[in-house]
Amino acid sequence: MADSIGALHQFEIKSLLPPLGEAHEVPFYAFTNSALAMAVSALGVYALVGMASRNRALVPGRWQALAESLYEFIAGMVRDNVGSGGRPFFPFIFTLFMFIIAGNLLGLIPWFFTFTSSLFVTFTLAAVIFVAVTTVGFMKHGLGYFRLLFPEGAPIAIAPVLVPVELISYLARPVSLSVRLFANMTVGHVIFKVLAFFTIALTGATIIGGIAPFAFLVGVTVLEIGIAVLQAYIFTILACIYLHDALHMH
Amino acid sequence: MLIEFVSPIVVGGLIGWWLDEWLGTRPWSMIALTCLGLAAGVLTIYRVAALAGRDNEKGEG
Repeated sequence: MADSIGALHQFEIKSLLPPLGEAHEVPFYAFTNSALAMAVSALGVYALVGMASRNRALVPGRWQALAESLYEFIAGMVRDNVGSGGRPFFPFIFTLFMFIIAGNLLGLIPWFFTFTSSLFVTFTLAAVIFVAVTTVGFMKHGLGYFRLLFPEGAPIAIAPVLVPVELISYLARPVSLSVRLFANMTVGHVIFKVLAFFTIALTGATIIGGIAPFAFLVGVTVLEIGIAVLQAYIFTILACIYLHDALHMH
Repeated sequence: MLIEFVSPIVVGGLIGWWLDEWLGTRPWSMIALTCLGLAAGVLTIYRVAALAGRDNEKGEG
């Protein structure tokens, strides 16, 4: 049903520069609408932070206050969740949060492609986190990082079962991390399209009929702004928790 | 919450599928690893719940 409404067209990835075409027809280096959205988001964050730090004042202006409160928010998140030794990772966590929240919020603008609703993008982000966290763990603990797969104090007899269970649970982290963000953003945008279709179709039938779905659409839009912020927060805080596990091993 | 329970099962199943292809033991390692994935899913949910409980206590206390 959703496809007859056209709710899934918004997720189509197509090339914007030659070679033109759909995602499956063009080579991997094609500049797609998804790539454009990511570039705009990254430049937007860069412009925001750059603008905020241009006229540095003791009493911050509007932009400086925004950037400072974002800085303090992420700094607090890193301090509380990564713990000691977390400071060197602050730039990475801050970049990650700003990139995702920019993509989520800009994606709510009509015709702006929501790149976080693409599983390839979210899985790549999660895979980068996974590889980085695993590398940090091995650099800090050497081969002792394998002890993460066997909690201290467990009887050695259950190791043949416990080690594979812990390994699967460790390998499943990037999957659940990426699918959570992807699913939340995709579902929100499908609901937008379905409610918009109802509004137009019912307004066409009777003028009053369109009021109820439109009111619902307004409410869902507010909800989606909250979800856009919340999902960026959850993605980032889980990255912090994984980093904490790698640095301190539970 | 749900995704944290489901993804270890899927990951376990996929690793099992891949092991079966490699070792030619279909379907045994897939069955075994899906069961281990189920255990991993329960473990993950337990940890998420424990973490949430710890944060709640911290908030109240």
